[in-house]
Amino acid sequence: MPERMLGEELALHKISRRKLLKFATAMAASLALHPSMAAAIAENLAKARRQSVIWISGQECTGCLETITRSASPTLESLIFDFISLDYQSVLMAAAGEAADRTLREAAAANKGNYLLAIDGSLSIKDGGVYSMTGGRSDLQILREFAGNAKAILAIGTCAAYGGIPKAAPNPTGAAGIEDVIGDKPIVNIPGCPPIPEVLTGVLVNFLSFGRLPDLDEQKRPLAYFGTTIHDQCYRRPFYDQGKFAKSFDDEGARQGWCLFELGCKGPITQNACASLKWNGGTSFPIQSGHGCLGCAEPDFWDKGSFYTSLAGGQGPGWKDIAIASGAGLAAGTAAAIAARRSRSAIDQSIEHERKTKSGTET
Amino acid sequence: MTTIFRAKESIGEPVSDGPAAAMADALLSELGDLLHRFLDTGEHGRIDLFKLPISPTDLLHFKDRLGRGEVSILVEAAGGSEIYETAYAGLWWVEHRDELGRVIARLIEVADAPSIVLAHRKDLEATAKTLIRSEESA
Repeated sequence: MPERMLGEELALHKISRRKLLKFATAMAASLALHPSMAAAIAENLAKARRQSVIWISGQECTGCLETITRSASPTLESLIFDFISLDYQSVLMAAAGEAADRTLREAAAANKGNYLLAIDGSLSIKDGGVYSMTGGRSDLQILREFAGNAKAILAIGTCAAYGGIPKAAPNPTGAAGIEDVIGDKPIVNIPGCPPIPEVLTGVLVNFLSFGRLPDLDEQKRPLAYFGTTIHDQCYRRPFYDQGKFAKSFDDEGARQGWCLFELGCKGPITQNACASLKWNGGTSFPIQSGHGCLGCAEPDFWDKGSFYTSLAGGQGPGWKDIAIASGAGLAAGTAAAIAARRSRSAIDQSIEHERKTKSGTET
Repeated sequence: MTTIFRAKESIGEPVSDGPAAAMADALLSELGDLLHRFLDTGEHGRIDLFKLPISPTDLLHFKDRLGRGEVSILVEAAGGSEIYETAYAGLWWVEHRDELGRVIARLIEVADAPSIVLAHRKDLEATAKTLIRSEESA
């Protein structure tokens, strides 16, 4: 591991502290930290040392790697690649075969106990994992070998987190998520098909800046990104509250940008940051482009029926439950802006208050 | 000008004019609190606008309510940053972009000057060393 601190390395690369502060400001926003934390992030990053990351793959389509690397076209976010040492990634590295295997072992030995183990793709556990093997060993064997000496595991994408599309019925390979086989290591799930690249950046920055993984929810997802539903953060939420819904993809409601709930949007039951961070450098996200959320960051999303069946149609929570959670009309819609900066519990308390107020007036 | 006057009169005082106005009212009220805190303690205040579920139209409405003041600053650090003082002294609109021109952070800072404008001590030290070296080699 290099002895030089990141601040010194960045200076050598003519990256000023002002650039670092700018990056930290973006990261503080991304991590839902108070903007005043930007200075602390910048200072701590400057004092940190490069973090070894070993990235292995299971049953995957390379979409997760694609989204992460595409995010690093020449943008400020690419600074993250100055903060980590990606010591093994079989798709990106030039080495192959035995040379690649040797690189993996050497990287793990050199950073024993300190490396972060990233994995994309699900694990095949049926029939000894024979359906997905590399160099004569199953993905399961490889994971178990290198998980032992990892500081923590990052399960990147819905497949690594929950099994994803390989796990879809009838699940011929016995696909499973990392957490189903590794129980004794800290795991961060970063689901999404693909996951939002800024989330991985945020997790790494949190680890480097504060020396620990970010706060996680019960599904081991970073709360900063998965603490609210797409619905909670959606800019079309006021239309939902007003009862204005598109009934088809080309009707007047669709043209007016009304809520896509009745066209099957899974935003109300999907926790992810698409509505706030968006995609392609903050350009847009599916709902902004006129299509409902597929719920791709949720477990078993592929097996939950049609993407175009409304949640009110019998899948997931019923209309009544969601209507209660939506609060009391426009007031809640406008308040959503403020709620976004509060914790989820504060939102829940607010919704509960609105619900009680509403039921009090109705009864 | 009408918009600016209205904004000045309505800091902390809600006005009813649809969702966009209600959003702006709430944010202006919070900015008022931060400004008071800054005056009392010197603590810089910031509101992150990037992750708010705010439509482009509402954002423009809010921007319009804040107006534009006397100072504009262009920072070129791994992409451009547009910074200007709003019509309210000490409330700064800060928008950071990357090299491709994409917005990566958008916030309001409550301060005498935005933090990114100030030169960092480490950069000052590096400059001092460079100047000494160039003097010695001259």
